[in-house]
Amino acid sequence: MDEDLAKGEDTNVRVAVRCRPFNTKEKANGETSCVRISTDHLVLVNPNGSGEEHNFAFDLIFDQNSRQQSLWESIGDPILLKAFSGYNGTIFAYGQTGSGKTW
Amino acid sequence: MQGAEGNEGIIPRMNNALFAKIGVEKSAHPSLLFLVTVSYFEIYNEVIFDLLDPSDRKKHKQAGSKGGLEIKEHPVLGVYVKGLQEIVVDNPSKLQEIIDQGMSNRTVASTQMNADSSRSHSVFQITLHQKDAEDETKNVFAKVNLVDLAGSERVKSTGASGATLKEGANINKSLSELGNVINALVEQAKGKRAFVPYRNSKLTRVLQVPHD
Repeated sequence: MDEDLAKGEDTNVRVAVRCRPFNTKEKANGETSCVRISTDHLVLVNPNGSGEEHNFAFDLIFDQNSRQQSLWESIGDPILLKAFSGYNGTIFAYGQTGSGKTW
Repeated sequence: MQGAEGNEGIIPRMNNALFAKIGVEKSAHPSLLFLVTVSYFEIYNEVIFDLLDPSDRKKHKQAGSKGGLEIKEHPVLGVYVKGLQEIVVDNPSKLQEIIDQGMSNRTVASTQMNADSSRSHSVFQITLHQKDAEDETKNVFAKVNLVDLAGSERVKSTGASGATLKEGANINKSLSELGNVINALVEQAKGKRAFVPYRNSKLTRVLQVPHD
């Protein structure tokens, strides 16, 4: 059964990450980003300059410049369309307070 | 998920797209009938409060009980929240009004409870029913849940006591139970046998769907 399904559909659970841009305070403090984005994974870089890095894989990655429309197209619209075919769907917004869940 | 004016997020977009698509479907097949209902509730300290019925919280406070709505299980329909308002909507402005009302009730309630809306999960549910006046066999039903989870920052236990500590512990637990349920569902989808521990938290229990 797995061979028939397209990539990304084999578990019907998808995990996306969206990074928000710096806010006024962060810009004023001259903060630097500790995140580097590749095509299918995100790298967390320790800002202490030690070179320590951690990789995280995601089904979808949206960077600091991503637009609301593109999240709708990749995440919201597919769930809505499935609902018309009788499929239930759930979208969770997960993150620290202030990370942009409501946005 | 709400976004802001000019930068609308998933909720307003889903709202507009839902009714736009209903319009398109009806034009193509005039015999189709659609019914959209919405519910909006929050889970705070493992207690469910209806955000579309502000009297809910007052009633329970007065009764002196822990309050909140109960989760029940129907043999056919599955898990549901008893007494939760389900409001019929037939246009996007009405749906947005309901969302705004719910969000404002959430803010008011959190002030009264000396809590913060970031300390509760909010669940916005849209149910879509489809029937065909010319074909009785066609009866489609789906639920879309839009969940704004409580802030995932770990509440430090040092210095926290009483209500704050309990709140933090409940959030940590319900987020980790959600993680457990998702992991189990992924294992099942891969064909492995896995028990899905829906009952371990209100959030996962309320989002549970009946298995075919």
